[in-house]
Amino acid sequence: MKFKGISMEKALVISNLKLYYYTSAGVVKAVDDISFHLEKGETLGLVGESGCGKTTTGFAILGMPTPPGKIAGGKVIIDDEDITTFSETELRKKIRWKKISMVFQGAMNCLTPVYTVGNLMMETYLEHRKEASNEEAYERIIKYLNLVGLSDDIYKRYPHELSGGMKQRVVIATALFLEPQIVILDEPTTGLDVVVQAQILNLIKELKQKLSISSLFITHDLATEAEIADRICVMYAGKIMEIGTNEQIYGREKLHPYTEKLLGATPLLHKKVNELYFIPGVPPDLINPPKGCMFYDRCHVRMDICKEEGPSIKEIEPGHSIACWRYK
Amino acid sequence: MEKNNDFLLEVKNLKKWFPTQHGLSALFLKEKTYVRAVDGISFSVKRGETFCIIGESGSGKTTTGKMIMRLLEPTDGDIIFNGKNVSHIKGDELKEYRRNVQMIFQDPYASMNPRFKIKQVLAEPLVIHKIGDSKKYRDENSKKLLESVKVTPAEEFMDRFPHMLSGGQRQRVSIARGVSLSPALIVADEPVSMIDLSTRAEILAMMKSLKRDFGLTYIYITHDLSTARYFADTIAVMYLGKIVEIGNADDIVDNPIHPYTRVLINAVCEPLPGKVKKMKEINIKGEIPSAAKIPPGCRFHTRCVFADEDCKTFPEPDLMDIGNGHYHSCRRSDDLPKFKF
Repeated sequence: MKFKGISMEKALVISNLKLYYYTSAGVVKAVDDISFHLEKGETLGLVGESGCGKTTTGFAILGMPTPPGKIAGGKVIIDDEDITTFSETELRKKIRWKKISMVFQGAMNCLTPVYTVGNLMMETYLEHRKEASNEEAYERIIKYLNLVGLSDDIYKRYPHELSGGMKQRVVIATALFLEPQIVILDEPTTGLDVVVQAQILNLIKELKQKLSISSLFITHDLATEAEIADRICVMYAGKIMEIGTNEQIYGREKLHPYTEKLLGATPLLHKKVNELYFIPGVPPDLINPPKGCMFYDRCHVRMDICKEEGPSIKEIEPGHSIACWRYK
Repeated sequence: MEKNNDFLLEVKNLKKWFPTQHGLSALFLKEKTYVRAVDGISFSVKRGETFCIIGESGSGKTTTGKMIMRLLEPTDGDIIFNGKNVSHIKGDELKEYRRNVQMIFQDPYASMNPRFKIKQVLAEPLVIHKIGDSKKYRDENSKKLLESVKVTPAEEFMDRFPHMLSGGQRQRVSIARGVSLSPALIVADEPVSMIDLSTRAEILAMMKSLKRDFGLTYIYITHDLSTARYFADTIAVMYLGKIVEIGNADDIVDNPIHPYTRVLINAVCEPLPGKVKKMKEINIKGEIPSAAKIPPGCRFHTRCVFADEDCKTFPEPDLMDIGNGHYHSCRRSDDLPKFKF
């Protein structure tokens, strides 16, 4: 594992990114001032409960916040260019699917039922590569279908003829076949059976080695993240609580109280426990966020200062940053 | 041998076959074809135990739950509840049976009438079974139930509509509705699979304490082995409509025999370091066959990496006892490598 300081090339840098939803009830700070980077060839895991802003971060990186959301500040830097300044046309021409692609949550259930897999992929390919011929596109599609472990005849099949695992493979192939540098995978294994889930995880690991792409793996499940992510970034209520390497997080030595609680709520199969921990309470209201630390209400080791002032994220050891007053 | 009345529920050779032809074609075609969703399963549930049925989608676990609930009529076999055969009861008898057996569904968003207030949701079982005639009694009862599942302040939540509650709160209300008639048995079909991780553990812990308070017996249907180990006493592993292995929860997880159980256990992700560089070992081929075309011989042989010629042709093995209440149905169990995780 490379730490900060040993310079590695960065595939993507997010700095002070904010994405707010401007609703009639008020401004929802869904993603509030987050910074992280993605190194070339690494998988960064983004975890958190539902509503913590994981998916919103993914959309923000692609420059397509869902209305009434707007990017309210910050930078998304890829190849020395800040893509938040790009226009919609520029984003479509230069960024989406060429440099960054995304496997959307539940995308496997949204494949157009009247298109064959081939039609579907062909349309995407030709839209992004206007100059390409049909033969070239066909070859590329077959190459990537094979790469994700599907046979050539899938090209002529309709989505309803495929199983969940096969559909997810088609979606992954579609995200990869324009050869982007970065792939955002949003809950790619949720809703699949355990066995299929493990097979898809193996596939993603294999593709990572073969294609050396950088990826952002979004999930709510810390157990899945342990299998796939080189580094983990824990989000809570729109903010980053902790970033650390796989060993640092799952080694469980120094942790943010939230990460500690999340890990405690994830059952281990081979260790019999009598009680599982849970996190009492609910995440804060993002329209009127608390003044201090976002996790104050649910924290088991809170102090007086936590209520007054939110902690900033600070590096406590190489490659490991925590936003908690306990580590100041 | 334990005495018969130790068992709250006994299921004997239970089957549910769905015909695949309907209407005229069903009359004229000589050979009828069926989807054999549940294909002859037997098990017994002790009083006060948590019995877990685990399997992939399509393994027949929900169909089994629905048959126990008598939402589906069994094609063949017996369901014996409290010493009484309930597999084909009707009318008042069935209503009385359902008072004793309740179900918690997977989706807390879909299992509640959106136009009912929470107090109406909770009073509905009492109305159906004509328990307590005054509104006041029913409101009091709803309040008590909400408090027992920790949806507080109860007075406030009673007048809310389901859409005003979070997923976790709704599932608690479903559980409260499940226990409202003080049933003996609750069939919980994936009760936490749609709940956020941070509250999942809380709901399971609450279900455990309700079990103590109300003297419940659970049938817990899930695909998630790690919660099953925490929550269940006995685990039955289903594959394509049959139980392939059954035993004490710890035995099943630590010492699985059947190749399918092994695959399920190896496939579980655990939050431990040092797994990124390694591939997961998944000893299984292909995908689950259709329940309309169950393979001959051992039904798992098409996907099993240990299967030999005999597995394809020999009649399907019955469950074999290996002691301590642990049964499995693999005829090659002696030739299998030692299980490691």
